[in-house]
Amino acid sequence: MRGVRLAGVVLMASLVAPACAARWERTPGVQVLPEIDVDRHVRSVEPATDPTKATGSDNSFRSRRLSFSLPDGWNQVWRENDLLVSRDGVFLQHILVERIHVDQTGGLDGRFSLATISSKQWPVRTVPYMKKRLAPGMSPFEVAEVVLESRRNNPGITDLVAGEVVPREVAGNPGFMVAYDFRVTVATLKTPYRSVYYGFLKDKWLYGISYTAARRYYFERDVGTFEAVMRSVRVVD
Amino acid sequence: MFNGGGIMLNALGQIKIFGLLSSASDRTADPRRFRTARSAVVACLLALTQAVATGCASAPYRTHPELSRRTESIRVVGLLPPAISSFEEQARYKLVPNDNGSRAANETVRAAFRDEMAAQGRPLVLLGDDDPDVKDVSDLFGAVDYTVLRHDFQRGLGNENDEPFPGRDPSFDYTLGPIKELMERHRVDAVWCVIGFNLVPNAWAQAGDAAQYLMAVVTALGNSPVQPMVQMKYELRAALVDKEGQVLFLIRINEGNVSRFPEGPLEEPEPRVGGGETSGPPEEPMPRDLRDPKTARRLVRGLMAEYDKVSGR
Repeated sequence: MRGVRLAGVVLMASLVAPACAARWERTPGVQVLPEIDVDRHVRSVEPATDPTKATGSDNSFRSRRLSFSLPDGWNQVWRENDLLVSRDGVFLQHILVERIHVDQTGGLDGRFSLATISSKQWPVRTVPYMKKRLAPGMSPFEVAEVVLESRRNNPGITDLVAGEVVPREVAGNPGFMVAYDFRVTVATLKTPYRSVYYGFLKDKWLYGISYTAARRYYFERDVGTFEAVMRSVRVVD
Repeated sequence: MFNGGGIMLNALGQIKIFGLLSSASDRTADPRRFRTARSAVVACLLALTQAVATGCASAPYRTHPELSRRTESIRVVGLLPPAISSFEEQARYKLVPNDNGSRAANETVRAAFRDEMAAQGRPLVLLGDDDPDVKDVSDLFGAVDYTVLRHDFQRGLGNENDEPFPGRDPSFDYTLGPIKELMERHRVDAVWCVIGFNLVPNAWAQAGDAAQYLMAVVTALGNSPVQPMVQMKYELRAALVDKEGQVLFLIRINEGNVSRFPEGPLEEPEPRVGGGETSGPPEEPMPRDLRDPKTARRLVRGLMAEYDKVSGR
């Protein structure tokens, strides 16, 4: 009987485990990303250096919600607190929405361990490779440089060539746009990619929305869809 | 005694086999011991069922819904430079990229394609990386191949690394974008894109594999199922792409399904490809080594046979 029970447990575990993992979802139309609360994480890193942090009265620990409209046929999945949206697959094209607190130095908890394999293998992450820190009041150019510096420090990225940082209004906020080409060094791929990154700093949060696709064919094919998504982005108060 | 197992992909897209070993055949007079042994058999059968459901039951290829129509006009086919990644497998499944091994495997697979197509009387044009467009298409194919494996190949089979897109049209529809100019320049109607991996275990890894099996057998004698992990040593994936860039046919051949493809005699002795630019004596390729011409030829012959079957040639 012991063997049968063991077999049952093994079988159930193998059946249940995949169901617990994050799954791609398809919900076209307007999406509202919930706010992120980094209070606990930032406090643990920098305990009470600021009196407002100690009292917990500073709302800057909470990001704003973001709303935008997703196109038909695109799929979404969470990677920690980043939202990845793709039509064909992360390594062909995707839109990445990230929100980063200025005091954030590492990833937040939650969904990473359950993230889908492809989203975990995609090597582009901003926070872990930031050597320069974000600070309230930074100009859009300075913020863009922090993001680009993170890309340069990322061992999963190679052959990075960045274009000019262009000031852009993003969701009604003064921000920037920068395009860059690169290759990844993961999964034995040599595919060249192109990214367009829109970002703005509001209160103590960087809001970054980027589109990345294989430079051949896929970038041009879907960049129009990304521009439509960008036009729909709103900060929800 | 190998009774069963499960199959999973690891981060590199390699397949791991998890096997269960037991001593179920040891039916002693002790009824309690026999019950335990029988339970172990049940456990193994369940695991085997699962393995069949997740791995063996799936066809090794995917085809575009218009494969037959689109392949009618294909006469001359090109071959992009293969992209086999070779790794030295060290102890504890540590993989170290082996550039020389990759080069040698790519040369061997390329030669296998050339020889097999010639033997079948099919025209083949070998395309080189000196054409930047060829390199671009090859590089993009890597991402398309990754995407197919992740989102399409295992669909519906419950593989834990499967990432199906909900509501996606189930037909096999992947593209590299139009590549008509490239093909007309090289006077071909379609191209084969080839990618894969090859793990060549060093002495420590081989000893580790052997020890795992030995330990499993010993433990199984005590009626405790254990799970030795043995990695697939090679996989070859090949896709036929037409002028519109549509992937018409994509096949994966590896240790898990190579038995489908019979070992046929080779027409003539194959030139042996060495270990690339290594100094000293060349490494001796093993049967599970894509640098081995016979292995490469068998895989190429197998994939062509499957292609002919599904395309109705």
